[in-house]
Amino acid sequence: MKLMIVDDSLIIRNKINRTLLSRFSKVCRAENGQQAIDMATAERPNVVTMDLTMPEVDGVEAIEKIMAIAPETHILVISALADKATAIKALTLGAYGFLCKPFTERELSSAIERIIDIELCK
Amino acid sequence: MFSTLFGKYRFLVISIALFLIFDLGVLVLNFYTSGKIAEQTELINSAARQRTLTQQMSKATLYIKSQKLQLWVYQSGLDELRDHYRTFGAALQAFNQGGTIVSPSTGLPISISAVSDPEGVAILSRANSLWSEFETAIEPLMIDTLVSDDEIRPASSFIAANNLKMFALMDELTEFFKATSERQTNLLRAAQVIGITLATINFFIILFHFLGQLRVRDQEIQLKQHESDQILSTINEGVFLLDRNMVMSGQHSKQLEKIFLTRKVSGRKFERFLARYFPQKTVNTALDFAKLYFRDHIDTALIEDVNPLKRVEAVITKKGGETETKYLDFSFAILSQDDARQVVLVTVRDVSAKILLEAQDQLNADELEQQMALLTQILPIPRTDLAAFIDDSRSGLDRINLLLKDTKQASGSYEAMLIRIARETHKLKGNASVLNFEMIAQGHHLFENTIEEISRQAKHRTLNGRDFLPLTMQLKQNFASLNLIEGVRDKLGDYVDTSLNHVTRGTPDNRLELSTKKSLDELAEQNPKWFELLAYTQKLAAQKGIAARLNLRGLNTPLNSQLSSELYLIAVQLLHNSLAHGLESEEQRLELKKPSLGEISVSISHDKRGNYRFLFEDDGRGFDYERIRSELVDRKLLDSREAKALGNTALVRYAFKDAISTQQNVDQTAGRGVGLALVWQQVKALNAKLKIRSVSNEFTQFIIDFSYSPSETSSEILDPPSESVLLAS
Amino acid sequence: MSERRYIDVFVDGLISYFDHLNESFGSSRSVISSSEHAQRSTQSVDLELGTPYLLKNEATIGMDFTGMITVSGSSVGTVFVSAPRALLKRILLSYGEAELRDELLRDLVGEIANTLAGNARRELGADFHISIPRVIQAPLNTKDYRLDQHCYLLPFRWRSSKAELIISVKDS
Repeated sequence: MKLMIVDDSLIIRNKINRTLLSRFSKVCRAENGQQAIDMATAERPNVVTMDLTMPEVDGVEAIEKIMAIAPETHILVISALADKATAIKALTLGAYGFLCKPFTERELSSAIERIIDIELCK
Repeated sequence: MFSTLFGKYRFLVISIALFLIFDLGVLVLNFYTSGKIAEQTELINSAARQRTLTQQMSKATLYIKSQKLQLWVYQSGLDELRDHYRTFGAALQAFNQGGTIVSPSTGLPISISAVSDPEGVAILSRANSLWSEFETAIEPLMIDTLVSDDEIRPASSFIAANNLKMFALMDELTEFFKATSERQTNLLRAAQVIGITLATINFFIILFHFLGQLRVRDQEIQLKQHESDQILSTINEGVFLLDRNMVMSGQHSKQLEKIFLTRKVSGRKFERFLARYFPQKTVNTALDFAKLYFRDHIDTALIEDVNPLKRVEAVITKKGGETETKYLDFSFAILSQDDARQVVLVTVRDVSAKILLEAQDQLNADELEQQMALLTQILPIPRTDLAAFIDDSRSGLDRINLLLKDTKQASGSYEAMLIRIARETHKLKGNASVLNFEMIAQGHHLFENTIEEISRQAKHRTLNGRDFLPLTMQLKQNFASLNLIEGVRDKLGDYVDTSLNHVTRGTPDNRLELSTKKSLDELAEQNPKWFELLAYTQKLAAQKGIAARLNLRGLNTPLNSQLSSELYLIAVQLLHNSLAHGLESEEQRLELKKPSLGEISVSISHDKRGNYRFLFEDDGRGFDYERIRSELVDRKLLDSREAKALGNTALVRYAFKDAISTQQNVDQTAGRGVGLALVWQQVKALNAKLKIRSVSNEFTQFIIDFSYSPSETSSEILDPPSESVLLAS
Repeated sequence: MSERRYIDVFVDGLISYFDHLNESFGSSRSVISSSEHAQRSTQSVDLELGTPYLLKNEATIGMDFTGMITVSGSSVGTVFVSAPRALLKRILLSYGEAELRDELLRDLVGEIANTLAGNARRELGADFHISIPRVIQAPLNTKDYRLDQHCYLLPFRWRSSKAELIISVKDS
C-alpha cells in the first residue's frame, strides 16, 4: 500500500513518516497542494495525510481535485484546529477523518490503522 | 427451503395447513358418505319396493286366477304381474351382482353395486333360492297372452304359499339396508365430529398461540415504550434523534425541553431549531457537521474534533422575553435502527454550571477579600517585627525550596528531606502563630499535612518525584501568601507604626495582676517578640478551652538578638506543648484541687560570665509517659513488652528525638510531635544540657543550661553531650 | 481549572511520550512481565521524575534545546520542555536515526513538546488553544516570557540524562 504525506512542515512530515513507515510499502511526500495533486495522479496512493493550510494550493482544494482523479483514495486531514468550518468542508469533500495538530504518534497510528483495515478487507 | 421461506411464520403455516386438511378430509368424507347414503336410500327404497312387488305379484296372480275362473278378461292383471315380476327380478339381480335399476322415487335409472356384506349376502341367497322357485312358478305365465289353468293354478298356489316368505325376506333386506345406512350415517357423523373437532382444536391452538404471541409482543412494545419513556423522562441530558433529512424525529428526553425551554421538538427541522438559539454561521457549520454522520466515507470516530457544537453559547429566550445564556455540549452518535434506517442520536448537555465552577475556581482567591482579612492581622504587628517576619519566612520557604531542588532521587534521601522540611515548616508555623498570622499559619499547617500524607505513602511504596507535587504546590501558595502580606504592608506604609502601636501595647487587666505595668512596658520595649507571647498564650488557651497565664522573667533587659531568637523558638514549641498536653481544663484542675488558672513560666537568667539558664515550667499534669509508651507500640516502633521495660529517661529520649505526639488530634499548634524534636535540635545547636523534671499532676519543668558569648556562634558540628537529657524524679 | 490538573496533564504527557518511546523502539522490552506492567502504569520504566520545585521569576533556565508551548483559554500557561544534547541524541539513537545533526535535535525537542501539547489538547478539551510548539536553542530568561511569579520546575531523567519540564500557569 502507498502513503502520501502532504504537509508544509518538515518536522511534521518526518514525524508522520517515522510513525507510519513500517505500515506502507511506499511513502511519498508533498510540500503543498499542487505537488500533492501531481503526485496523486502519478503515484495513486491508497492513503493520504493532508494538511489544510499550505502555500499555493491549499488542502481543501487538493482534496477536491484528488477525489476527482482517484475517488477511492482515503484522505486523513491532519491540521491545527483553526477553523472548524474548513475542516468540515474537507470532510464533506471526501476526507474520511480529521486529526488535530498537535497529535501523538498513537493517535496518528490508530487513525491510519482503521483505514488500513478497511483497505485490507476489500 | 421451507424454513427459510416461512421463517418465523412456520408454525402458523403448518397450523393453517392442518386446519385445511382436516376440513377437506371431512368434506371428502362427507361427499363420499352422503353418496353412499343416497345409494343406500335407493337400496332401502328398492328393497321396500321388492316387498311391495311381492304382494302385488301375489295380488296380480290372485286377480288373474279369479278373473280366469269367471272368464273375464285378466289381461291387465297379467301385464301387471309380468311387470312386477321383471322389476323384482332385475332388482334382485342388481342386488346380487350390481347393475342398473329404476329408482323407485325418481323413476330414473340408477346403478348400484352388488351387496357384499355377509349378512346381506345371506339374506339374498335365501331370497335367490326362493325367487328361483317363484321363477319356476311364474315363468309359464310369461310366455303368451293366454293363460291356462295349469299355468295359473300352481303359480297362484305357490305365490299364495310363499308370498309372505318372500315379503319377510325383502323386509329383512330392507331392514338390513336401513341398518347399513344407519351405520354409515353414524360413521359420517363420527367422522364429521372428529374432523370438525380436530379443526376446531387446531383453530384454537392457532388462536391461542398467536394471541399469546401477540400479547407478548404487545407487552414488549409497551415495555419498550415505557422504558424509553422512563429513560427519556428521567435522563439528565437532552436527547433526540436526527434523521437523514435533518429532521428531529420521534421521541426526545424531557431534559431537552428543559434546556431549550420549548416543547416544540418532534418533527422540526434541525436547522430551524438551532437557528433560534445560535448565530447563522454556527447553524450552517453544525448542519454540515451533522450531515457528515450520514456519509459513508466518513469514519465517525475521527470527526469529533471538528464538532462545532462543543461548549457553544446558546441564547435561550424565556417566556417573559428575557434571555438566558447557556453553555451547551452537543455530541453525536450514529444509530442503526431495526429497519436498517440510520439516525443520529444527539445528546445535549448543559455545561453552564461546570463552566461557571471553573471560572469560580479561578477566582477562589479573591484578593481584595484576602487583603482585608490580612489587614486586620497585620495592623497589630510592629513594622520592624513584620519586616523580620517576612524576611525570616521567605528565607525559610527558600530553604525548603532548596531542599526540594537538591534532593537526590533515592528513597532514603526523600525521608531525610521530609524530616528537614518538616522542621523548617514547624519553625515557620511557630513564628506565624505567635504573630497571630492565621492565614500564614494555616498555610504552613496545610504544608505539614501534605508532608504527613507523603510520609504515609512512603511506608507503603517507593516514592517518586511526582508524589512531592502537592508539597511544591502548597509551597507556592505559601510564597504567594507571603507576597500578599508584603503587598499589603507596602500599601500601608508607615501607617502601622505610627498609629497602631499603642493598641498593641494595650495591657489587658489580667496581665496587670502578674506584673507591674512598668515591667510590662519594659518587656514590650526591650523584647517585643517575647511580649507578644503573652497575648498569644491567651489566644491559644482560649482555643483549647483552658485558662492559662504566661509569666516572663529575665526579659526586661535587652537580650542578644541571635540568642533571643534561638530561645524564642524553644519557648514557642514548649508553650505549644504545655497548652496542648500539659495544662488541664478548668474542671480537671478544680478536681485536682489546683487553681483554675494554669501557670506557665519562662525565665532566662545568667551569671554574667556567659553561663545561661533557660527555664520553662507549667503546673499541669506532668509528663505523660504512658501515652508515649502506647504511642510507640501503636506506631510499631516497639512491642508492648519492650515499651513497658523502657525507663522514663528512655521514653523522654524517644519523645524528643522521634516525632511522637501525645496529642490525638492534629491542629495548628500541636499534635505532630515535631515540636519536641525541634526543641532538641535547638538544644543541640546551643550545645546545651536539657533537664526535665516532672511530677505527675503537679508540674513539668524543662531546664536548659548553656554557655553563650555574643561573639561565639553556635556550632552545629558539635554533638551534644550524651548526658544532655537528664531526668529527675 | 485547577493548577494540579494542569500540571498533571503535562506530566502525564511526558510519561506517555517516554512510555511510547520504550514501546516502539525498546526491542529488549518487547516482553513485559505483568509486575513490570503494573509498575509502568504509574511511571515509565526508564523515566525518573525528580522532586518538583519552584523557579523564581527572572531565573535563567533551559538546557541546550527547549520546546515551548503556550496554552490559552480560561487559564494562560507556558510550558517548556528543556533537554541537553545528550538526552536528545540518546532518543534519536533509540529511534534508529544515525545522523545527530542539531537540526534534527531541534526537530525532536519540538516533537516532544508536540506530544505534550497533543495530550493537553485531548485532556483539557477544545476550550483551550494550544499553540504549535516553538523551539528555542539558547538559555532563556523566564522574565522574557511573562510567566507566573513562581513557576514549577519538574526535573526528570531518562536513561541517566537529565532534563526539565517547566510549567507556568496563570488565570487569564
